[in-house]
Amino acid sequence: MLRYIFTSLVILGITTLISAQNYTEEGRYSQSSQNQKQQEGTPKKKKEKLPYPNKKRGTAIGIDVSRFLVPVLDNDRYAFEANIKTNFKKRMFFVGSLGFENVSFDDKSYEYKSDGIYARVGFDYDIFIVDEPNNNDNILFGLRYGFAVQDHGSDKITVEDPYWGDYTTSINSYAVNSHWLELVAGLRTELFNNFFLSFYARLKTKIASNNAEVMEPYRIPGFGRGSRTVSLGFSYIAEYQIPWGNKRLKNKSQSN
Amino acid sequence: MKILFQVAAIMVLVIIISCNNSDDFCLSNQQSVQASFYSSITLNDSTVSGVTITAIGSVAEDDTIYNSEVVSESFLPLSMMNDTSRFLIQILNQRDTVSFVHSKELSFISEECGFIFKFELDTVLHSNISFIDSVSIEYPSIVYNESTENVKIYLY
Repeated sequence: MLRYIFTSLVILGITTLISAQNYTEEGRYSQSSQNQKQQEGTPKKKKEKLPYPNKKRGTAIGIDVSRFLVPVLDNDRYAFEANIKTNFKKRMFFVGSLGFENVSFDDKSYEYKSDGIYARVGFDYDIFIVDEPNNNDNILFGLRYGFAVQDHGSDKITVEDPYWGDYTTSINSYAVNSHWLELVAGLRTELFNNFFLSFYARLKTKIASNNAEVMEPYRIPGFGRGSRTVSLGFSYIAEYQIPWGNKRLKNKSQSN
Repeated sequence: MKILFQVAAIMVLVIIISCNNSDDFCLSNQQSVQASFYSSITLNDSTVSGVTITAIGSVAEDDTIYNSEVVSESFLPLSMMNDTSRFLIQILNQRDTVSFVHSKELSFISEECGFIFKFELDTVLHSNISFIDSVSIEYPSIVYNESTENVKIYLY
């Protein structure tokens, strides 16, 4: 988990530095020119509020590439997640995810197996306004509702007892449903034409989980550790955007 | 862009907060009755020396839980195999037995610590050949990570 977080931090740091460098240079230039103007006696110009630019619209289909790292970091688990994102307003996106996560281990005081699928739906809002042609990058904040259903059980549970003898039992596989809400913050950048890479940090809160009394899920697919009510997650989504509605947008902006 | 830094800073903050969640610390999965000795005359708790307690019917090579020790409270492990756990209490050369009749329920603690049994004491039976006057159940539940006196053993 820690390695995963550190990897995320390093990549986030690099991304931030690269982006920051571009804009810092720009900022430094505008600041120095403003200072120069002030020195010349020009009154300080009131900062104008930029309108939201005409960014590329479309429907993006992608996969969360960080899921492929899961078995590398924890060989008891493997997971996959597919994503869809589509504009439904100028700066709003409808977002959906579908994935699965399987867990299996036998190296603890109990054996455990869980197979589960999950879905997330919600929206993202882009707050990134930049006066730069063809900049389709986004800074996104959003909300998600998540739902997971999993079958989990234990073929062997051993409770150690040196005086009376170890006790062995089992729990047959049964279904658990979980629901949660997520607050997300993300950075999305267009690497190539219509090909985007997104980094998301997710703060998740479990709102309900049924049938977890007998045995809490070791992990809830898409949520994280079953014993936690608050969980943090990350996603690196590589996606291809099928453009639509851009011609109309172009014509509209030209007529304006 | 200032906003980019702000977003990154919020993300880092969330990561730091999430890293503060400590991992599970697992106690022993064996559950024990906490039984203390009391004087039947003064009703005060009493410390007794030369106490030896053995588990009757134990599968362990060494079934002795306390061996000629100074004891004021004892921890007596309950059997998961049977509904009754019996103990022989010996003080110097005198002997008595205490039997706990209990029910159990499998309980999941955490991913790392696994399972335990929660016990509920139904009855305590005892012999009064030598030194036990009476026995009372104070708190019938034996719960993981809970240190509560379950039983009082009154001695003559």
